[in-house]
Amino acid sequence: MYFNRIIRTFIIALVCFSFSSKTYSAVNEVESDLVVQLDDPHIQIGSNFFGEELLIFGAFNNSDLSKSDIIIKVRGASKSISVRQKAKKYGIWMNSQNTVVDNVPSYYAIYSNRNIQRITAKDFLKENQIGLEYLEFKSNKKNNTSDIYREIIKKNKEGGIFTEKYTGVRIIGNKLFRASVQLPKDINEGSYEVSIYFFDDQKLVDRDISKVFVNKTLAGKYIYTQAKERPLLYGIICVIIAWIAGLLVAGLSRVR
Amino acid sequence: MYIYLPIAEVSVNLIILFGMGGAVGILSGMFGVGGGFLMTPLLIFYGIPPIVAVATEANQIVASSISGVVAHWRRKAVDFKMGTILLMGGIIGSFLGIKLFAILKNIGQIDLIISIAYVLLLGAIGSLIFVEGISSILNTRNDKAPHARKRKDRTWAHTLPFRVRFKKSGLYISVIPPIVIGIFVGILASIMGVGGGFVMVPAMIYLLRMPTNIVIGTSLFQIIFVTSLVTILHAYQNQTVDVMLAIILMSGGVVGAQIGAFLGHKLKAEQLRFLLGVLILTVCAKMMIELVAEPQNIYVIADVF
Repeated sequence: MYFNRIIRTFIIALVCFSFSSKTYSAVNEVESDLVVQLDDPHIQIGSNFFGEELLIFGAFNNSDLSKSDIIIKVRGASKSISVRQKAKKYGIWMNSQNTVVDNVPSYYAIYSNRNIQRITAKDFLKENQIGLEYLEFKSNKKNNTSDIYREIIKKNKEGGIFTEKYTGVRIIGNKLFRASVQLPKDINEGSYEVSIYFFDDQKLVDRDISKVFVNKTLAGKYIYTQAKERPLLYGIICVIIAWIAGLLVAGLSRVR
Repeated sequence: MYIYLPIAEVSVNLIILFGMGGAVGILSGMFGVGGGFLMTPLLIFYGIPPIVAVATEANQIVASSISGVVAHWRRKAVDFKMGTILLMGGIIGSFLGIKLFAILKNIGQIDLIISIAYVLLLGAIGSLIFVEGISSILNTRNDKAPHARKRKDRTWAHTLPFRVRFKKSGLYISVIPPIVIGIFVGILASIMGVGGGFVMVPAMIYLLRMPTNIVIGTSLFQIIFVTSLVTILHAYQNQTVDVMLAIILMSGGVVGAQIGAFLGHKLKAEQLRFLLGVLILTVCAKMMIELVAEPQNIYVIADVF
């Protein structure tokens, strides 16, 4: 496990440096470009998936990064969630009010090299939904939504689904930046958008948007799609498996 | 060692789940209980969504009941006619239960109802087993044989119309009570993910006056088909049967049941019975606390599909 990781980091470092030197040499031909590389744009949720890290690294031209700022935003597909408020009725806690909130990202991470508020203006953050407080949720209810929104953010932060890490982007040797974005174990399948914003002196200089795909591994995905698309057949197969298992056990205990 | 459950959509520790299946298997091997009524709450405590726990547990019970019924069948201790009548009720009950499940799910109260049902059921069974266990200990201490019950007396179940002769059970009774029992068990199976033997067996003995030696085989016969149907209905309507989880539980249960059967021969199960009662009451208490105590979070967040 550790060995694997060491090897991987080593390879990445190698690729990284060859990459940076290439861009370095290409400077004269191509004017100012943000070069970004994702370690693995296809992530598999295996049957033993317990979290994965997404390595992002890149360089900006030949410029000295010591005065630059980088914000990385990783956002999963939006989904709708229902928030039910519990209330005590007849001595027990039951669900009462139901609020449906739309436009909630299934995953959201902000990684930067320092506090995003200091990197750029609030308007820009708001416009691009950078930062948990600037996430724009939509809801069918008008009042009390701020409590509910706060709760959604809190719950997701606990599960590592939403993160903000102002120390998440490291600048290596003033030439390269690198971030290791943690993907928690209960991550949803789908396409994730990775946006990288590059600032110089509070001004956006360049941005890069790429995609990462998170897939369930074959077995898990196969089971999931069968269960959703052919529910009747799936149910019958589940029962057949149970019958076979039961008969096998009965047969075994007879042999003894 | 973690494994990702495709339907429950959570990563779980394989060893813990296997151990849970095994532990409940030991209990069922020792006491002859199905174990569904303990397994489902344990799965919920572990973090499996209640609707997935219920549906998947129904699937597991199919396997454990089949392996159980074969032994009874070999001893010719199954009343197939009575079983079929109970099953007819069970089929009606399953459809009713699944319908009810859908309604409760839509109004967002299904988790609550599952919990309440478990608190009531575990509370009742736990106290019964506990009291019986204590009194059997006292009886053996006093060296007093338990009273032989007069079996031939009639109950209200024998006065209703549509009487049918059940040769195997030596009964000539109305089909209405077995059908009603079957319906009730079918509803329990679809809402709680249990076989319902703990309700059916006493009802067959005390209400229908069936001979005790064929009661368990007959109830298992009914449970196999009812839980099979419930599994299919849940898979079809709610897509909540997690086959991966079911297989883990089945394999754990098999190992556990063998150990349990072995231990059952070695130990005096009668005297251990009150321990089972204590265990059931503990699970019941934990569920009750979760209902009554102020929740850590007053907001429940779930995906909308």
